[in-house]
Amino acid sequence: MSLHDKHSSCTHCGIVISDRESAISSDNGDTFCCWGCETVYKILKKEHFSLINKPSANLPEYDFLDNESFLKDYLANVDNNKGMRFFIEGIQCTACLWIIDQIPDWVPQVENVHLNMSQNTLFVSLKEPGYFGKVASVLSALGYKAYPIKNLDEARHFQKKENHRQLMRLGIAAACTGNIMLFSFSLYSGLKGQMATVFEYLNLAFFIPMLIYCAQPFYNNLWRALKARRPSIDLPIVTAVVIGFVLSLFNLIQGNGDFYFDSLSVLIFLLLASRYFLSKTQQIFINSSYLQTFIRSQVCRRWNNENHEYEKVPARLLNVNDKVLVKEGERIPADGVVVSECANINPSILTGESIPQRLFKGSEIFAGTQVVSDSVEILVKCTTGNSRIGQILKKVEDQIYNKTPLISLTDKAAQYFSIFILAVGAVFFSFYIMIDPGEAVKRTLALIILACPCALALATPLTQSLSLRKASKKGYLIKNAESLEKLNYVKNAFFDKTGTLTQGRFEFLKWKSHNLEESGSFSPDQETIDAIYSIEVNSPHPIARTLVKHLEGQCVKKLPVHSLTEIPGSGISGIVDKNHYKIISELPDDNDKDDSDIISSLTSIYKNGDVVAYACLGDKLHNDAKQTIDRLKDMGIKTYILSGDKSIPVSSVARKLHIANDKISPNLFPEKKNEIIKNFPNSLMVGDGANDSLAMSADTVSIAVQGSVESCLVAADIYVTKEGVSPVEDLILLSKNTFSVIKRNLGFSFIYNFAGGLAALSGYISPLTAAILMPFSSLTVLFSSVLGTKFLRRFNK
Amino acid sequence: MTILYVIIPIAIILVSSFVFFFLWAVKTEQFDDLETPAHKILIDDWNDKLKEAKI
Repeated sequence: MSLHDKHSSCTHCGIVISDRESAISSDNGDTFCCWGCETVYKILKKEHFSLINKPSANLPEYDFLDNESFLKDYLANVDNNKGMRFFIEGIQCTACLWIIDQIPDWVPQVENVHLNMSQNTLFVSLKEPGYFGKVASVLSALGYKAYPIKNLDEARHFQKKENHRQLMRLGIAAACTGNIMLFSFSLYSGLKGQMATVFEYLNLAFFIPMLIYCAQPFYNNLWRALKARRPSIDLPIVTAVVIGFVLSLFNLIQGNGDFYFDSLSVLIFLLLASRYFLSKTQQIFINSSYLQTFIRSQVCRRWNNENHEYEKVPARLLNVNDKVLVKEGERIPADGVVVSECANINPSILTGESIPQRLFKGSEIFAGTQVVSDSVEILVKCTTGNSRIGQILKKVEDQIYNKTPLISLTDKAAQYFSIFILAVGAVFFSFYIMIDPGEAVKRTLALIILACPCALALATPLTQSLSLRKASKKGYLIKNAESLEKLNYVKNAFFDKTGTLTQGRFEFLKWKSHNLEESGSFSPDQETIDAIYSIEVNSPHPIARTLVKHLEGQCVKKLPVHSLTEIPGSGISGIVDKNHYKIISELPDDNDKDDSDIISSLTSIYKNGDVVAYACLGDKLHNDAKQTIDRLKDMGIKTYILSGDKSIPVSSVARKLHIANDKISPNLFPEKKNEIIKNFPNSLMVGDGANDSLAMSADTVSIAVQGSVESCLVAADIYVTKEGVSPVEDLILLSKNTFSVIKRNLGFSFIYNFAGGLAALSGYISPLTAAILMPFSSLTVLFSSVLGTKFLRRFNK
Repeated sequence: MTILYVIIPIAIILVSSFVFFFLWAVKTEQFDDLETPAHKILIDDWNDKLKEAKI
């Protein structure tokens, strides 16, 4: 019982155990208050233990994070702490925060981690350099994907300051507006005499900071829009504010009490607030990562002729004719030729091809492709920056910054609206001036103030920010509100195949009997399986490797193989147990009935000359692909497949998704994808690979699906952290819904402005009318926006 | 009504102090992350308990 004396509290929950008889003590001396605690503790301890020792906790793919040239661009300085900032995918709740907070315990070299849950960013600072890669590996072992964010100290600083300025403006606007409303209330209630004059001047005093400081963003925006000759909602706003101020000032000096200070300040405050919330919900910071650094900073092993050994250097220092060793799982750092006898590579990231390839000595190999098995030596022929992928990334960067901005619905409406009001005002003025010049000026100005479509200017950003927030809760990161609007106009949707419509893995799918037409499951007998395994284990071909991987658990006994011969380019044969087996891979014929299997390689197993079984290898469609494509078609959106893969798997996918043959384009280079998309207006690109990123950065709206490479994350407008393609449909629905709410608000807004304009023209121009109409219209559209986005029907599921 | 001559300056002082403190809060970055601290409160308890229990 000495153990119990040492531990008088529960090891798991910490409760002091009073009744020692009932305590539970485990074999290694831990004491628990109840079985529940014991179980949970065991599970947690086991999980933690396996977590730290997971082989994946030290992934070579993150080695580049500790590279000096990489750190130069990415090391950030926060409160005299040097560290790196990451964008973390998959942060949800307190448990995420807790587990990420434990990182300093697991990686003792970490000084501090700071997670910002509202931005999904993590700041990591180290005690000693060289452990960022380890942190990223641990994060990925935990299930969070980490993307380093480029340190743009100045830009970041600027952004933070801008954010602070916006908040300060909002705060000051709130204070001034509150007071103006209080003073105005007493004036409307009938305050007269000297006190009234004091109140009026107090109103003016509080309005001046609003006019000069708080309304500044509107002036700036208007100026920018005018310079670019774009319509902007800021024009009627600024007009109303300035004219309102001048008119009120004039009335104040003249001593007749018609002031618009209260309505205008409320207007400014609400506009500032809605714009602030919109800017908060946009995920712009993802844009700030710098594309090319990822590949250029990758560490690779270069052969040093003097020392006769491989030295680690960043990819950007590679020169033509350097010899480089690339290990299994790593990416080729530069374009070159294979020096080793052969190489198994997975080109899907670069080309979209689904079958791993086998390259032989002397063949060309491209940067970005992944080595599937064994190490490969290559001779660099083209430096990283000039490699094919490097050039693609360069173009992507150019295109992102030169995207034509969309003229939003609100801005377009504001343009027509302003023209209309000014025209009505001019006509009215030219007629009424003959009756009463003074009254004509007054009424025309009142018309302009009252007809300002403030409700619209207010409700649009609010609706958008509510929708963005909703999307981000579901794991859809939309970089700006503009993309949401663009989605609304989508007429053509282009999908990548490998990794987007399909899962992007090359794996064993199923067995088929010698009669290919026969449906139902089939499996060869144990003897055959053992024989196949024993033969295929000797083949380095990627297809054989995949088959072996699948059979690993099923093979009971490895048998000796005689007279093993490789049939170049197609397969292998050998004699096992006096039976002659021949295993040959061919391209499949296109008539598989299964709904989700995309067979890209059919391996026939011959036993003594007869086919005994077919092994189908290939890729699987995402479960939601068919449904999503069908629903998009129902919405009237044309769907296309753009793929770099061969035509057989592409048409097989198209057939299963019921996409017509004239809407699929196989064998496409990344540049070609880009060209095709440019020919279609209102197009949407959905993809995941480096070969899609160029098309994504074109003048389209683009969605990067889960598991995309970094260049896609940067190029795409929307990034989805949920598996499959159904988010595409969700997002389009969300966009359509958002815009129906915005259009409804537009309607409300016009009705109110029409009423306001009528009141102004017919002489009911008392500021009281404005004081009632303006906030009331604002409230209506706010209500309509909140309700409209709250009950997005299907999206809530 | 003369009371207004006292009340109005008080109101203005209150407003200025509100604005002052608000600006101070913004500048000291208290509004930069509104989500994480709310969760952190819960975690501190947890960690204290863990330390007590010497895990």
